[in-house]
Amino acid sequence: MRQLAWAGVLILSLMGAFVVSIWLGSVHLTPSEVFAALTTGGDPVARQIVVELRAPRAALAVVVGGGLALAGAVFQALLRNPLAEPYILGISGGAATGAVLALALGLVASHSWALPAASFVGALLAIVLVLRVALAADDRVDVRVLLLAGVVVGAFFGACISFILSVSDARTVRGAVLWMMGSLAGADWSTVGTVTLYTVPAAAVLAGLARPLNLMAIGEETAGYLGTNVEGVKRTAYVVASLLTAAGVAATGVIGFVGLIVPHGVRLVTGSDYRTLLPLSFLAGAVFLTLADVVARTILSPTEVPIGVITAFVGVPLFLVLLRRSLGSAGR
Amino acid sequence: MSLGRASLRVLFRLSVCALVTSQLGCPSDRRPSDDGERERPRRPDSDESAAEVRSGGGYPLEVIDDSGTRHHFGAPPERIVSLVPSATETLLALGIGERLVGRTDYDRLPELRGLPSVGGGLQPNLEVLVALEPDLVIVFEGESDRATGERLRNLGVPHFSIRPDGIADIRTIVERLGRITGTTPAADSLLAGIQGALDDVAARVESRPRRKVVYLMGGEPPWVAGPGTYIHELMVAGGADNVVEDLGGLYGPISLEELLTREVDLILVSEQTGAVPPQLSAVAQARVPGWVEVPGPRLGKAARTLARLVHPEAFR
Amino acid sequence: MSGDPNALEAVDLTVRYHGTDRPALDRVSMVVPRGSFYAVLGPNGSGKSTLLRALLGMVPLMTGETRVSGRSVSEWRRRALAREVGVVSQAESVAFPLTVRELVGMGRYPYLGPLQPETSADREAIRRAMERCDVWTLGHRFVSTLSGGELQRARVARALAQEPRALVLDEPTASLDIRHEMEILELLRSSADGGMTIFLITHHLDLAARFADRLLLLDRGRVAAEGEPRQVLQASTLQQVYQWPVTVDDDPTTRVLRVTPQSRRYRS
Repeated sequence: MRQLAWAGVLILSLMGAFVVSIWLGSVHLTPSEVFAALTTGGDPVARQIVVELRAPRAALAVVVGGGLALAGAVFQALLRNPLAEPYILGISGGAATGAVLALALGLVASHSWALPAASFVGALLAIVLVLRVALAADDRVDVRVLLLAGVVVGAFFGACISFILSVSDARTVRGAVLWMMGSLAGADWSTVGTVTLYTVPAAAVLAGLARPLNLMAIGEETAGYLGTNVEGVKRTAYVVASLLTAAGVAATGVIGFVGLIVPHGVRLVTGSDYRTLLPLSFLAGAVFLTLADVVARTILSPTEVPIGVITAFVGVPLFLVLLRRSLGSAGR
Repeated sequence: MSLGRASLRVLFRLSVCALVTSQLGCPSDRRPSDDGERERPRRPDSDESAAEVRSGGGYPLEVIDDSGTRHHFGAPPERIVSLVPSATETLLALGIGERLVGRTDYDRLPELRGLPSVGGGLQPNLEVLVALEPDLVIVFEGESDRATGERLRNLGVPHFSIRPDGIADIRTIVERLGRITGTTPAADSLLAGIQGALDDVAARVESRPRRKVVYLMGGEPPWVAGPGTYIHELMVAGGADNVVEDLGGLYGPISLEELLTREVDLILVSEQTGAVPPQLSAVAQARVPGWVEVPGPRLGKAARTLARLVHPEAFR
Repeated sequence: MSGDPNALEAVDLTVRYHGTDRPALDRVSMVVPRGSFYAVLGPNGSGKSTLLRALLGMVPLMTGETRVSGRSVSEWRRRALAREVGVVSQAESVAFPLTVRELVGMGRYPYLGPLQPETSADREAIRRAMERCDVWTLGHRFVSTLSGGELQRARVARALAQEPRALVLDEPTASLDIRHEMEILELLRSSADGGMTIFLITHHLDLAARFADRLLLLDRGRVAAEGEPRQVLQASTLQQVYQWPVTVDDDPTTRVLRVTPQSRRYRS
């Protein structure tokens, strides 16, 4: 089956990407040095670089890249729009506001986990606010209102961020802007563990929603006639995909394009059946972000290019190629 | 599922997050090559530094840095990376530039060009830093980048925090760095040179009437330097009164109207400013070279330069 | 339950939408016997689509209740109801590229668990449904490339793939040409002959008369007439409901009931 073949390709690519990610970096290491660092022998400095700096970074790229792509696919089904992505409903705005506020108030001075916690709380605020607005009088989620509410709430948070930055000192502004551009530089094993703890159950729940999400594509009413609990599916999909996004953003800042381009690209190649789209999107997102991170930290070494820049520069042309190819063949 | 239950689900996840994060978020000390005992963070002033040292000036010695961490030094550090430009300058001034093994992208001095760079000072490239195997890393003690300090601690890299905000801090840094690196005589003479320059400036401007000065940086509305800044201290030492002293704080914006209503004798224009707003063209202006703004061991020369702009007649 | 004679039932139904002055359905009662071909007629806005939604529990009721196979619709679980009743509704827009095979395959979802793949029984049901609707050869085509008629046949196939005991259709032949319209109606008729209950909302009075066993005529939310075609399709009733003069007679050649609207302005 085609989809199985693609799954195999992506799994191999992921393993390859992981290996490349721990091999390449600002400091040149030969493959044998890397191998020695992974087994117990070898130079302790190389071991430190590989095991405590590069490996957690690669692991975080896998989990966050996969999570963002998964959330993007779910939002595309929920909003019935192939151009939807995880940040369209204001989550990134809320998360960024939380983070910037934490930086400006100096909360980061006391605890280093204040920053991810604050951004997560900000994201939660956005999630709850948007859902509240989108709940119609009869307690149903109106997805058109959801979209508008998300855009408006996002704009509101954008204004909050501008305000906070306008009254902050240069160091805070620089720190905030860097955070908002997204980075995997702060990855350590405890962060990887926390994000994985969110991602695994969320991915399991969303995988179980594959068929209902397929049905959402042909309309809520028809989905109901085919046995779906439409309101429950909408809410679960919205809340779980949002929390998944929030966890990723809290750990790495706002990394864009992954949630938009990866599921759409997978869709162009293997179709819109969510039973395969969801796992393949996760794998593709993981590969994409891992490789983007390698580029981000090696291309201008020792300076790091913000990873959001790489995902955009690489992702957009790649996507255009895929789009043209699919427009040539039968289909949309 | 009603909104109530959706909120409960969210809250549940939040509490799980908090619980888990508190368990996983605790950094563990892996290689205690630097015995970093954390004390309550405070900013010890230079009077206390004499009491901090447990031995009589040689090794081993113990120093507390600006984050309150106690450091033990058994021998002079031989492989130093400084992420703070003023510390880099100080080390060069103390004559131990050859002990530096790395620099940041912002260190542009010709002596340092051959050294490998670790990227930015605030979020350095940890791979390169670790690969340089430093026995001392000097970091900036600041609220916006606590993460770097923690990551260095987790990686077992000894790092010394400094905070070069004002004149007193510079003196403390020179003295501490001198003691840590075993170059106390050079440090003392550097301090003496600074003190001499400051005394000289004070003598020259003492009898002169204080001029009303504002330090202008770019922006619309323009940003100015308040009483908490290093440049303010230099201005005061140079015989000037800071026109915006009452506004308090560090650097902040001020409206042109507000500035025009105040009596200003001289506008000192920072190098990073583009054009001075035309509404202020009636007031005397003087451009300040960029290096003067940055706190560092050239403090004495900076004070002199600034004083010469404020009271040129005192320097003929 | 399964032995109960009535496939669908509405008892004293009243439905009112927000912000409207008259109810969409006003104390409507009707009974669809199992295995019958039941057609619902009426002018625009008479409440036909609302009746369909109410029967399937998709709108809140002000009074009354609706029953499917003898049980109140509110007691039915969604998936079980989907196995019992197949629906072809009016509005449907496909947001993402889907093949016809995938579209029809969704008819089997009420039988499948979240991650359970299709069984051979499912594939067989899908194939049978697609062949009956003459869309088997279109399986690999994308839905967006189909003509109106092909898409409609595919949707009927999906409803048939559900292997329901009743089919509920809302103007399934609205944009179809003669051939495709007749094909679907004949398909529905033969299904009814095979024991399936057909509930059809349509505009076409003639065809309803020809294919249905019983008719329901709605007028502004109320029942205007109900019963066998000849009883319901009386000129006086139709003129009152449709506010247009008609002639009702038998076609001399086919002996089929024929309703002809008279011309007010143009004389032939």
